[in-house]
Amino acid sequence: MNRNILGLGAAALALIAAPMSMAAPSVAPPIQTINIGGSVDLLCGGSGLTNATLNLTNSLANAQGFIDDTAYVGKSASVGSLWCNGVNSTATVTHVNLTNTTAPNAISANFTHVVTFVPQVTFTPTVGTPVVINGDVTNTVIGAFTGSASVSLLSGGTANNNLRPLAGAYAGSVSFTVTPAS
Amino acid sequence: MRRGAVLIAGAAWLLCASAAAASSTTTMVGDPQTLTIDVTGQVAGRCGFSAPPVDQAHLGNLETPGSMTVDFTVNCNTPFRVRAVSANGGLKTSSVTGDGFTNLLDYSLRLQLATDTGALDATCNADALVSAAGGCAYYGATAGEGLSSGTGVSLNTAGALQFGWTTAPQRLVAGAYSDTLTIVVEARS
Repeated sequence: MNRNILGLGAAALALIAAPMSMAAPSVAPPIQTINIGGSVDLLCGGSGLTNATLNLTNSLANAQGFIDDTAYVGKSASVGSLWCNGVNSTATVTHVNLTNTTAPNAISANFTHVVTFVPQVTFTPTVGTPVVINGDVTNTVIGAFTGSASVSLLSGGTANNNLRPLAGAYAGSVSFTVTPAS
Repeated sequence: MRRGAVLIAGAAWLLCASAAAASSTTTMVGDPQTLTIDVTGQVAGRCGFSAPPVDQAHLGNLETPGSMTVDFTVNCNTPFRVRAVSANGGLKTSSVTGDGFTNLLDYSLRLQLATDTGALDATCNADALVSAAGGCAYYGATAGEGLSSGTGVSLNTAGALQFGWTTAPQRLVAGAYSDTLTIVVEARS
């Protein structure tokens, strides 16, 4: 009888003690770092971009029949706004000189069916200094750019000296390509 | 008869308990006396993540506004604080910016965590999570800073971090953007 009573008492104590010795639930360390990532793709884009036509209204020849630089030098056309978000974005410029395609190839000396000019492409950022490219170039870095672009014509210089352009219609072109690069 | 047995058992229990004490008392069965045994214990305060937030959160293309929620679970059996710090004050890329571009995209971070006395809910921008000057309620680089749970505790309670971002005021330069957010839950001292 006494042993039974003692057994009951021991059980009661054990129940009291149980919460004190219960192992605490595991808890992760209270500090967590979260690495947050995202990306922005390489892109070039624009608005209002269009192929422009630059009509040279004055004759390419002066009163003496020689090539008249003033007929084309400084003439420009805007091609709208564009942007490239790559810090090493590039521009490539090519051009075709003003050419009279109907004139014969075999012509007298001092006559020409080509009026040479140098293309100039200007990238004018919304903020900052314009990037000016003269002549044909391949993959010249213009960097991350947002703003407007325009094309103008520079003198062909000595290539036109003492040359008389043949009568007729002349056509040429300036093309540029912007490519995003990081 | 049954009542008597209970009394005997009770007396025996007291005897047994008292035997463990420093002094002993001679007590006759049927002559009840009262002995009081003070039992004390403690539960250690603990506070931490029972399920921490993921350690990598990929937000995707940042040029498109969006949001992402990261869940976690907190287990704090004592009032606590929660605090966070942003390493960059936004998502940043190492690329050098050009005119009209930025290499830092701020984002908002909503912290939600329920307690038994109410919810903790605060939203800050990342640029306010780099120093106390930002005024973010849950900014904290050291213990004692951050958002207090008041008297509340959170026992295996779910919380959430909601990241949100919108179109940057300037165009984002291309590249990989990142930030490191450190979040801490700690018992209040």
